[in-house]
Amino acid sequence: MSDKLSVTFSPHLQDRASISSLTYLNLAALGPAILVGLYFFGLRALIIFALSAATAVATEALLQKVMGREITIRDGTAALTGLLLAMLLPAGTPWWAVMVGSAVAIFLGKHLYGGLGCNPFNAVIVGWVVMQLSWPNAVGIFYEPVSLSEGLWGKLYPLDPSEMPLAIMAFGDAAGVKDMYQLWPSLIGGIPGGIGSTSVIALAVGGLFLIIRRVITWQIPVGFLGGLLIFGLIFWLVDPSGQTYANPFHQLIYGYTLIGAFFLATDQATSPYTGFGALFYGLGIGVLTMIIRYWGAHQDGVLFAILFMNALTPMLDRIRFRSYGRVQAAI
Amino acid sequence: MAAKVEQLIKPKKFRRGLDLGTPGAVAAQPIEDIPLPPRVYVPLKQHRGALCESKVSPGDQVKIGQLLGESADPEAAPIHAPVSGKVVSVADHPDPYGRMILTVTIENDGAEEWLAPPAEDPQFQQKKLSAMMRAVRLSGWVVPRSGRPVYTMLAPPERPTAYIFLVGIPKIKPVRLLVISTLDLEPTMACNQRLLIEALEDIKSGAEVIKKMVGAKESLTVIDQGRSLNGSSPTSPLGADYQSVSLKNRYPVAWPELLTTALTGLEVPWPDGEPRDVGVLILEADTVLGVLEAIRSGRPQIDRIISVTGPEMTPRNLRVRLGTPLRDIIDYVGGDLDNVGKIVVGGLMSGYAQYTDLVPVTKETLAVSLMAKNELVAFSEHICIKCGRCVGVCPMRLLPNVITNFCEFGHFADAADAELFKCIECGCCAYVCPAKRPLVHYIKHGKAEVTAMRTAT
Repeated sequence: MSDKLSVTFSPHLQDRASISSLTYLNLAALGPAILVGLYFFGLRALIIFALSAATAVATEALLQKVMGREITIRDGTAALTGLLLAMLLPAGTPWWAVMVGSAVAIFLGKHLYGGLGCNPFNAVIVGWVVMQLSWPNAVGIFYEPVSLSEGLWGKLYPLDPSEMPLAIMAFGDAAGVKDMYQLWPSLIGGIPGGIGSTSVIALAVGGLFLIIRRVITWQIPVGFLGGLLIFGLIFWLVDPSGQTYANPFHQLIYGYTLIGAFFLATDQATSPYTGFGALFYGLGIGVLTMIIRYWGAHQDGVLFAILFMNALTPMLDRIRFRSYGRVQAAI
Repeated sequence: MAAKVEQLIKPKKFRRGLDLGTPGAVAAQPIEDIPLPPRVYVPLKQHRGALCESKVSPGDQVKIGQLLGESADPEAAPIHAPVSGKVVSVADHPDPYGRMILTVTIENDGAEEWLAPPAEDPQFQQKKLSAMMRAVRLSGWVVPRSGRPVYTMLAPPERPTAYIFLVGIPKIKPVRLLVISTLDLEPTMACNQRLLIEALEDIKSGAEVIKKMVGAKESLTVIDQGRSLNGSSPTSPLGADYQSVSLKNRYPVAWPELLTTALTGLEVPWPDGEPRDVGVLILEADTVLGVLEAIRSGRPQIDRIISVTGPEMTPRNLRVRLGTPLRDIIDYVGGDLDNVGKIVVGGLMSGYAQYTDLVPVTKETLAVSLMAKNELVAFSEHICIKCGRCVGVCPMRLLPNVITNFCEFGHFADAADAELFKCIECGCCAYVCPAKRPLVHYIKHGKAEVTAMRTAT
């Protein structure tokens, strides 16, 4: 008999899934979208990805060192935050803006509230909002995809903000978007946009992978996309020619819709934990996104909609099932 | 009559909990006897109620079946000598729940001398109900997980439960449906599944007797899905005249309160109720056999069938005398003792880890699970990351994250408001937690604190 027996409370078994394994699966799910981004935006995209992730990890290590906490950069959550932020940015974002945004996301978005799991707002979006408000020209101007024939570095051709798909749909001729943007490049990702968020196919593959591996639940993406499509469909049916309100399918494939639905809205700490609450949360994001897109000043409402619903999460957490056995006794 | 039962049986699929797989290896092993232990340690509390008073003193010679202790508490079961021999001491000894309990230690003389050898009464079915009930009470049988003496489950309640107390009238709760469960509570246990194969006829006649005792109109046998009986179809292994249901044993659906809901769709008032409140009585196969033996031959409970599993060993199903120390069992099964890092009495999901291998097998012991040093899992004090996995698996539909956050930071009254006492401590939440938080630990701590607060005021 071994001289020392281990004594703990039950259970004596644990699932293999841990914080780090879930985060690594999340990172793997980002893979396709990142590869597409590298293909269309070249070396600049690589630098932004690397710089953002490295800054996030370094900031987390520094903050935890200063606060005297355990350094948890190995669990991958900081790298995930950095990479997701980079995926939202245009290819021409200056290096200092990337670094500041990434550091702010980790500091202001995460560690100010106590670290992983304690943040009320999605850290990635907090970083993005700070960049958007501080340097609208640095993160608000998108570029045409660079072609590999011009070398790895390529030359960037900025696009007038009014020519972005969502801007055309919102402020111009809603039906004209399909003339300016071919369907196939829009699905593959060869259109102007954030370096990791243009490819509908790659993001959907990553998102479905996460749902199948049970890293995220289906309620939030389904609620989000369902709310967006239903709301868009109602308004589109008002005028099916698409002159006034754009085809809801176009609302689905442009902007930050899919990266929001699969990767940003599903952030564990800032989304409700009950299934019904999560469905409601998703629906709210979808509807708010459409309201901002139709009548708001911003082209793309996804990130602000998520931020808004993050604030409602504590309330949605109160929607829950009746617990077992809350019945009148048979007497 | 069949139509009536069909009205009661509205199966409700159990979707929560965990799919831990079915026990392949342990359910394939026949039940075997182990050699008599040289010394047994019989705790005088092997049930939910009060400690029994000792009826023997050191130096006494006892025979098998001789009364060692009894108590006037209705939830206490009399305790009998499991071996014949000499009482060495009556002193405190560790029990499986980590308590020091007054324990009778008997030096086995190996004579196997009975006080009154069990003799089969062929007319046992003609006994009067009161005689049957008396036989069950004197036999001291205890339902393992709840620790309730079996006769309190068969008899009308002698003590009003809390909500009946509020109404003021203790009312007899009729049993409409008797459920004989051959599901095992955890994947590392196989006692009931083995008994279904090895003692089918006895289970059938036991079910008949109990049906008569409680006045149940119908009885139903639950069988682990996919487990066939001697090659017959798994849906009706008991024959055409016996109602049976096969159920996928998704942990913890075999636990009585959840089994009631899975079979009838009725929810048991919880935490103060029992399945009988909705007209259902659930007894496991080994309990049925115990009741049958008590009535048929007057045999008291002196042994239990336990499953023993461990690293690098064949799992076993053993019939063990009560009071046998775990050391003897581990010696017998030949587990790799140098490698054992944890001895768990009960299953790995809800059992109790032991600090010493001198702990005896009691009437509440279902299994002994050994864990190798490299299999041990560690909990962490990481803060809750609010992923919600525990909420999805909780069979009682609680919010384990909310309850344990309250308990962790000392807000015990808030935890009680969040329905802390509804928790059945099945361990599903702590199993799935990615942050490896010890949720069950927090809940048990919270329950103890709230109970202490309530007794103080």
